[in-house]
Amino acid sequence: MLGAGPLLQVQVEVPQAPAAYLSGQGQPIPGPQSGWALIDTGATRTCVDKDVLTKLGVKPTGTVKTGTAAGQVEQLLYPAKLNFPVAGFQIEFGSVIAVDLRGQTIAGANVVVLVGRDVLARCLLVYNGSAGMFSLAM
Amino acid sequence: MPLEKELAYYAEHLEEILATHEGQFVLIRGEQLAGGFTTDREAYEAGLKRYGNEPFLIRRAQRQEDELAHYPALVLGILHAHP
Repeated sequence: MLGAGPLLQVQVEVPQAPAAYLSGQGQPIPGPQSGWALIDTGATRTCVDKDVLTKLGVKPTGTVKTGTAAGQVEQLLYPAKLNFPVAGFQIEFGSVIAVDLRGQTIAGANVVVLVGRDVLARCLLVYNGSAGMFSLAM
Repeated sequence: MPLEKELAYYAEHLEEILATHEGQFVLIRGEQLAGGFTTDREAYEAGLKRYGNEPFLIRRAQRQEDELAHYPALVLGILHAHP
């Protein structure tokens, strides 16, 4: 855990409302996109890789100004559903920030989500560094 | 960039929008204000019903801008920095 950080397996899925819409239109619902979610206590909001969101076919519903080393940048917001199969819970988001996570790979799998404090505000996170483990509960 | 038209419309018509929808989540597509909603979820579902799976803007109508979002580990390139 020291090298990779607190990681969870995650599946990014089409949220319920657009899935129902696509289904009602007789269109296929894109399958879930799997990868790692990194718990990032420095992130104010949860971020998802923009390529993953594109593959899911969901469309942007807003923007948010983000602070970067180069100043303020406007980023798109998308609806998203995160499924954590090992942890055993799912979260539907009205909006997540679309970011470029290309090249963020651990043990052959891509980091596709940064779990931010909007999620952690509803959780108990215990980071046991000396034991090399963490727990996350809702 | 998607939503440019919608963002420009929101900025140009902010005073009118605040007069009728302050505090609500407004739904905008192109240069059309489709209405105000109590929650962003309601606005999203209304947008899907009205426009389909297309980009549309949902924004809380308020005078003050939302706070900046930060994710410093990614933007500073230290996401997987090792000691």
